[in-house]
Amino acid sequence: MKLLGASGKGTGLWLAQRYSAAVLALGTPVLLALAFSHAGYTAWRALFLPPWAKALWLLYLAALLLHAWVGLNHVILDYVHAYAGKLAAHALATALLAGCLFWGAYILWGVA
Amino acid sequence: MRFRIYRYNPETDAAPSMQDMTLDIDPKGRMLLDALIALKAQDESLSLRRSCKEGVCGSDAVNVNGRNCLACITPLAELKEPIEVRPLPGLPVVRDLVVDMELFYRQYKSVKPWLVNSEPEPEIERLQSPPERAQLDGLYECILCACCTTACPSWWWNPERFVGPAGLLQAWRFIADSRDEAAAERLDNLEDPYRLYRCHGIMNCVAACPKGLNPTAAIGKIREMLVKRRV
Repeated sequence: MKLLGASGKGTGLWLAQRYSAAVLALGTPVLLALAFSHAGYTAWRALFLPPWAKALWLLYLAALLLHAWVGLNHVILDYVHAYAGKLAAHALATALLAGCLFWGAYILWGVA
Repeated sequence: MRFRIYRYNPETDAAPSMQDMTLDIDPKGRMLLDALIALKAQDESLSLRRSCKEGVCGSDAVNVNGRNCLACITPLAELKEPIEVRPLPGLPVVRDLVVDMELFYRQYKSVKPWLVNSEPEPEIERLQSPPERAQLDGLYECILCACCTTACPSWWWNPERFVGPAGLLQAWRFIADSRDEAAAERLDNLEDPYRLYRCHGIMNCVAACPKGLNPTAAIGKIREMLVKRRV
């Protein structure tokens, strides 16, 4: 066995990174604007209160985590060469980011 | 002029070392290769590759003051002393400035760098229109010196799996060729997180290419094709 050939994947991840970046480009300015405007608790609460806003911010968080996952995946593929290490690093990154998603949803729906 | 030359004979030396050498040479109008040949005359044990002496064969690629270049077209006068000459990074050293290019050629071969066309061979040649021929400009000029690939950090980390800038430039050269019929298989062969997508757009390849080619742009075109056939 000399060559394993191409896996047929890669472009999907590349697209996921671009799509998630587009979502981040829409949401991040809103958060930054509010952060730098010294808005108080009421303004932040209003931003996350309506159910549709919760859904949109959850989508934003999912895009952020997907973007982070693709980035971590790049780091792992670049620097972790042992097969077992790669599997473990992938599992850890996925578990960590999925945990963040559930945690984020819990926080968002805690706004009342 | 003062030189610091990388010396290593894996059969006898425990570790590589840098040898300080001086040469009485007028740099005006001379290239680095002239100096290296003169240094070899001083110390015959110095090993290096060279052939055409005019930047066409690509055999005398070395790392000079931290940059990959062809010794034969690098003006001596433009180099800062002491001129530090090392073998191309990221490849096993056979001796001194001579590296083992096996991995580089294996990756090159993996993109099937030849025309695939099942049509019966015409009597004289397969014709191209001038615009079709123009698609190959900036691609066919590659001399496979390995300056770009061995300057690429992504290739240093994954030389066995990432094709590298030179191989990918050649892959695009054949995908872009109007006479080639294997674009789909060529794209399949590159649809992989390692083979193509280890390129992070660092662009060391563009900075290193002694022929002024742009592998990063070629990689971008391949990616564009992969995205186009998917969405």
